[in-house]
Amino acid sequence: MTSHCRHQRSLSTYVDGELKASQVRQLEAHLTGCDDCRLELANLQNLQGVLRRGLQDPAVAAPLWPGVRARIEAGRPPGLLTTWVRRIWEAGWERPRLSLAGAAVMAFLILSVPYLLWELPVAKPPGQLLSVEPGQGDVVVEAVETEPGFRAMVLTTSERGLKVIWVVPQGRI
Amino acid sequence: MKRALLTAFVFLLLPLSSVYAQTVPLEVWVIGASREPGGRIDPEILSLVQDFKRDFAYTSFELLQKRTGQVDQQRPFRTPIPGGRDLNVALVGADQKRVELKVTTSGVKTRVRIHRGGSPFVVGGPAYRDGVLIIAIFAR
Repeated sequence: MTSHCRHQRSLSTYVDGELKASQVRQLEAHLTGCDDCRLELANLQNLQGVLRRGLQDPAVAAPLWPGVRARIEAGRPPGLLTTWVRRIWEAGWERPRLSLAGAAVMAFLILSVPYLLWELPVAKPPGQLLSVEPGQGDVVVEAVETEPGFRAMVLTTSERGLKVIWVVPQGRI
Repeated sequence: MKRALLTAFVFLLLPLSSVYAQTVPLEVWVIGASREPGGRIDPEILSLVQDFKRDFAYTSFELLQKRTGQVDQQRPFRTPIPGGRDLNVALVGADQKRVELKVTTSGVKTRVRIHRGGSPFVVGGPAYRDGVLIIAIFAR
């Protein structure tokens, strides 16, 4: 954006008297050297004057007012949903703790549902043993403890590598 | 207000408790293996016993019982098995893919980790009639 464009955009704010002092100084310095901006400023000030005089003049404002009022009154009342949302919104501002607790409940439920669904054990139909993917069929034997009078061996089958704990009475190995 | 917040808090904990009380479905096959001449194999267990037939000197495999149940950290899975014995399976831990089980049966206590829906853990050897028992435990 050029300096000219920026000043041009702030002319309306200047007319309304809403520019900061530093911005006013910059704009007025620009106006001294810019015919376009001076012309636009004059137009804006003229328009503002017309509107102000019109609203202050009963002869102008009075005929306009009934039309404005009719359009306000013709507006539809807010729907049921809007009313409820508005009530909840207002109640929320009046009871911040309750609204905070409600928001926490909603957030927790929304976040926990996918987690719960993800965690649910899914039983596979029996007889699916041979469809195990490579690396998924490993059985890890962490510990073996035999009762007195027994011996145990951990064997691995040659074809599919099934882990088998073979328990025999002592003396039979 | 405090009561309402407490109620909400308890309500929030309910789904969490179901996560911690996770149950693991189990399936237990008890197979009687023997050296009967002729070698009969139950069709239902054919895929499983191919390995046993090759590696162990048994020719006949009969599915004696098939039990399904579930185990969680509070309740072990117990079932009687042929020969007047018991099988006890306790859950040590579980995630979505694997489970860690403590298996106790006649003569042995063991702790194993197996994949859900994967290969079974097998305990064999207890004498039964003219042969032995082979117990396969699947986690689903």
